Amino acid sequence: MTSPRYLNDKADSKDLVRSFVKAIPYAVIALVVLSIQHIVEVVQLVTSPEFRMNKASSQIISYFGNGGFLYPELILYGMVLCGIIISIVLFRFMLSKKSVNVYFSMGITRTRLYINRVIAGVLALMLAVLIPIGTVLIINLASFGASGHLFEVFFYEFSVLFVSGLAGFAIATVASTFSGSLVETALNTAAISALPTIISAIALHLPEYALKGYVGTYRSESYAVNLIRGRAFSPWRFAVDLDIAKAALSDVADKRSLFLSSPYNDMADLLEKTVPESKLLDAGLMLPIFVWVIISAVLLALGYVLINKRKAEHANSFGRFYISAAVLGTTAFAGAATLLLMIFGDISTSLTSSFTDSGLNPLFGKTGLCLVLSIIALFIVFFVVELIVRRKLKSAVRMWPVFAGLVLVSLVVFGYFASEKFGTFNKVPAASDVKEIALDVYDPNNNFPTHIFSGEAYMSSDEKDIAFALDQFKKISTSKKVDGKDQTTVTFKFVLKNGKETLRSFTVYDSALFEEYARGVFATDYYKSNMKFLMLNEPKRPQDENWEDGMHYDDGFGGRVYTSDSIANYYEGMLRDQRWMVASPDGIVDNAITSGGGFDGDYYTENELPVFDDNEALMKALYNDLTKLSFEEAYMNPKCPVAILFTNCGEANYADDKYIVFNEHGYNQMMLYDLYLTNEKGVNQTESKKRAGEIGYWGGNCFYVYDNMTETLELLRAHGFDVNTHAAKIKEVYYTDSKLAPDKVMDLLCLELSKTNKDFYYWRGSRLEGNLVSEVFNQGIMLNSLAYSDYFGFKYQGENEKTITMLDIITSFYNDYNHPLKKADTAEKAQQISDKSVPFFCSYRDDGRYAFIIYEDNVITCRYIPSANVSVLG
Amino acid sequence: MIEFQNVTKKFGDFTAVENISFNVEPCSIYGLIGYNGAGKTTLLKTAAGIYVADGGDVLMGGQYVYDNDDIRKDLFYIPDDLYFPMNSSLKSMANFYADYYPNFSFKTFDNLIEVYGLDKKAKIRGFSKGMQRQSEIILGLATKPKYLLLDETFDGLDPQKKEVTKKLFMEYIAENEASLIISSHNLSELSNLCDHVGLINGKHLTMDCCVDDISQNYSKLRLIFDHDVTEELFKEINYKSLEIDGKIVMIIFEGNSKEEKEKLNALLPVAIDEYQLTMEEVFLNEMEDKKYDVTKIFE
Repeated sequence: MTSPRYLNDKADSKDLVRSFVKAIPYAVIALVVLSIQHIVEVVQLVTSPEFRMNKASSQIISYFGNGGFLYPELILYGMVLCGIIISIVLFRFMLSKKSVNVYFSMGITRTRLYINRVIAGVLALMLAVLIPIGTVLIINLASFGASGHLFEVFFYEFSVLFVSGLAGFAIATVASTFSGSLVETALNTAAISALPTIISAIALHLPEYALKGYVGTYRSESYAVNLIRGRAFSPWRFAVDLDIAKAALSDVADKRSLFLSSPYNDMADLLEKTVPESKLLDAGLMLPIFVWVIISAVLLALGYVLINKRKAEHANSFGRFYISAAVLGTTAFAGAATLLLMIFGDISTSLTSSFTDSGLNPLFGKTGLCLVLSIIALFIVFFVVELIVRRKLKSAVRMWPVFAGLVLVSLVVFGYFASEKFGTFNKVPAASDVKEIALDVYDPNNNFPTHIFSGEAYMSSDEKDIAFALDQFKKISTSKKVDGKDQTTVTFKFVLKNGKETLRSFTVYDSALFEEYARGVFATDYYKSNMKFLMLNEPKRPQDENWEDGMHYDDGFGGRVYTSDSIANYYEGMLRDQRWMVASPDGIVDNAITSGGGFDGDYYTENELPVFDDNEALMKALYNDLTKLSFEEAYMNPKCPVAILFTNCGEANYADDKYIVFNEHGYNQMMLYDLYLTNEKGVNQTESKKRAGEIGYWGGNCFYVYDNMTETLELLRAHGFDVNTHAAKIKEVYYTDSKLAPDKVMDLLCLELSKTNKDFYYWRGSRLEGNLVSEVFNQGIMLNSLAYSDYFGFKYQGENEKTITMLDIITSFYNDYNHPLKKADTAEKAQQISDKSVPFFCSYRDDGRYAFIIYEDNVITCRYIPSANVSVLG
Repeated sequence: MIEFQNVTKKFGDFTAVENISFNVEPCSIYGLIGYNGAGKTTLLKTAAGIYVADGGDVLMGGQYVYDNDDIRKDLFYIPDDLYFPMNSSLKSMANFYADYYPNFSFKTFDNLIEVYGLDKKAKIRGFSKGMQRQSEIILGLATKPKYLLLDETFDGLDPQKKEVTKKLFMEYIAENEASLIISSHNLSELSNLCDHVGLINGKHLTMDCCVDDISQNYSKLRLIFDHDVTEELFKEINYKSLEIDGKIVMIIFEGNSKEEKEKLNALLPVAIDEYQLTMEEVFLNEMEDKKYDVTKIFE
């Protein structure tokens, strides 16, 4: 005899099968696309004769279809969309009165209807991914045999694709449970999808701009940038924007001082620790996947609750569900709040827009007014949306608790970050409570505008240092922001005796205050100890498995399975641990480099580099010389250096690395430099401009060696480095005749190159003057190989392309094109120009001129004549 | 048995039905009558477990209906607004319902297909409205429900199919000891089908009785006079309805009072005949609708 329970179970299982069958067509589409994306390419590769001959286990990664016919982003978007569509197909029965009548009166509970559809949807998505990815796994196994690495890649690929689909499915499912129509479901799905981005953007943006005194390291980081960063947390891009998410999380972790209570600090620490570099299936890589599994599970659990609360009569309706109206209203509120955040910027102080800079901002400093205006604007936005959604004034008004809640939350969050009452930012610890401190120390000669904050590595427990730190902390933390002023940052770290740490970064607008700080730090023992710590101590390089392996993976899904962009932070003996090279002031680093080709993507062997071979001696000599310099000599030395010591940027900057990769160029912190330009105390502004060399663009460390740094010079000479100026006599000197001429020269250079290689178009990149001039002209002699870069807008010199010499260009510009270049008419004048010019890498773009000096041995070097010396041109 | 216990259902601020209580016994067909929008469909959907009652409960076989799969496998609701998925046929719908209704009988299904003469492979959406109703009736009866809830089910059926359907329902109820509730505003459809009727008026159940008792509740008499009469003549009579057409008078009054009849006899009509009230007349009398002078509407 059959029991009723059994009968019901039968209905349940049949409902599950029916649901699965419904989902299949859409899962099949995903399956076919993924199969084409992954299987076809893999089969082609493993069956090719070349592959058979060269197969190697390290190639396995590639054969998961990294280079399929679609971009990984599109595949992921497709998976999310597939999840949404499957959910809508399975749950749309709730959206029609006709189908509700049938489904909600049949012999199956709402709970079972829901669970069966969730199981069916998840199963369909899983199979859609598992079949193609599993097939690739089998092909790999057949080709290479089993390896743990292969299974790791398989698991990762499967997880990313499946969880993307799952996220879309979960969001649309929960949206269906509180929506009355397909349109409302779509809107709620979009709203829920957008909320992580909006909330992340607010979380990233609010501390940046709404805080008094918070570090504005990247002032140019606009709201739009934060919105893009926030997008990394959306269901659509969490797998492809891993690097962005990591950067954002690190940013949050850096701002842990913003949070008062230890749980937040612990969370920030955890985020840091769980986002390590370059390890497959580590927490960093899998974290967003796990997070979205959890979010999906929570959303599906919420859907389970809501479907049982759902009123059947709300089918075929719009805006009847309170939750739906609340979700749409909250999204509108949050979206509007982010816009207001952008409009009002750092509301408590100043706006960062040009509007502010022009001094026309009527809201400047009026925090209360800004808040009131914000609330009014948010009120309007919220209730307009509610009126549209609810369509009845009475119903819209009933949403007031949601609005009130949102305002309350906003005020609490804003108040927490913006109010000084909490003591978050400027609470000065008692000297007796402080165990040790760390400060920003400005590395003399190290491309001055950049600074070293080695506080994480070097701490001082000296009483005088602590007293100095507390004094400066008090002054800087209570200093006012100044509208329209350039800014710089100063960071303090205190470790208290009770074990608590306090990390504070402040934006300093007052140049006098900053100079006081910089001079004060320079005068402390902390400064010398810090330099000693970095230069003389035995290097204690942090262990980094990736570098120990000497491998650099960049394969896998979207090239992100293995990502190695590790750049070491400051650590004990760091400067001694690096590869130091020597440049003469002519800008000729070494023939191997100057004639060797472009920057980006080119590799240099160890033999091609003019590497200094005794770091310990070099650092000792440098330390001895640097600690004898005065503040002015160290930071504002008007002399031309006789040599430059620099380290490479890029990924291999340790002394024992096997190769070096020039890649992205770092940014100088021009603001600090500019601060000196506007220094009211009358520092030799023109000359100080020389302090930031173009080598600084390389992002490595850089020391300028002056003629009074005898110990270092002696050592360099003893090691065979020519630290004098070019020995050959000057043959000719060409120079630009007006401050506008450099631009014109650049344009003409593009024109000449385009004429030479007609198949290519050369254009002037936005950073042309700052980079191309130095990197092309400064390489001197021949333009045999012009570096290609998106930055610079120059086409790479291929093997079959014609070449053009620098001399050709200079001669051409001198003779034609309205003569943008002039020529020194006498040997005496040529020598004077040379004397009054500085190496190009030391130059800055004030109103100076460029000069090309051609020596008897046909070496050409580009020099810069500062505006103060322009009179030499006559 | 189906038990409605003080059922109240609201839509937002609007109360559709309030405190409705009545029972439907096994082997019984209950007619639910009322104006359009009176709350019949709401009550049926609440009974079917589609709506959750805001007050009171609906019990079937002593169990609560809402979200109770044990009960609902024995319940079939045929709504006014029928649901047939795109490209569905009677056959595919039979397979669909068979998955959810364990008692589904394909034999009954085939027999009923034959009775109604429908093509079970044809797309239902291509059927006429009446044929779609027949399709749903076929599917509903094939599930062999103990509780059958029908909402305006005769709407769109031709007279011949109506009669066939009525016979089928009565046969099914008798055979299976099932309970059936059918709502309609067309009383003639229910007159020879239901054994009980309930009238919903103004959110409440204003009448709940056996069809057989209806005639006992009202008396309808035709009086013929040898002269024209006016309403003044009947001022002593406690009537429910009075229609005067010269010498002929049609009068309805509640109950079967001999006293009233004696009063009428005292008015010396030439003839006096007693009629049985139709359900429609009962319905109209119960509703006590406003009287409109329609001749003035289009002036």
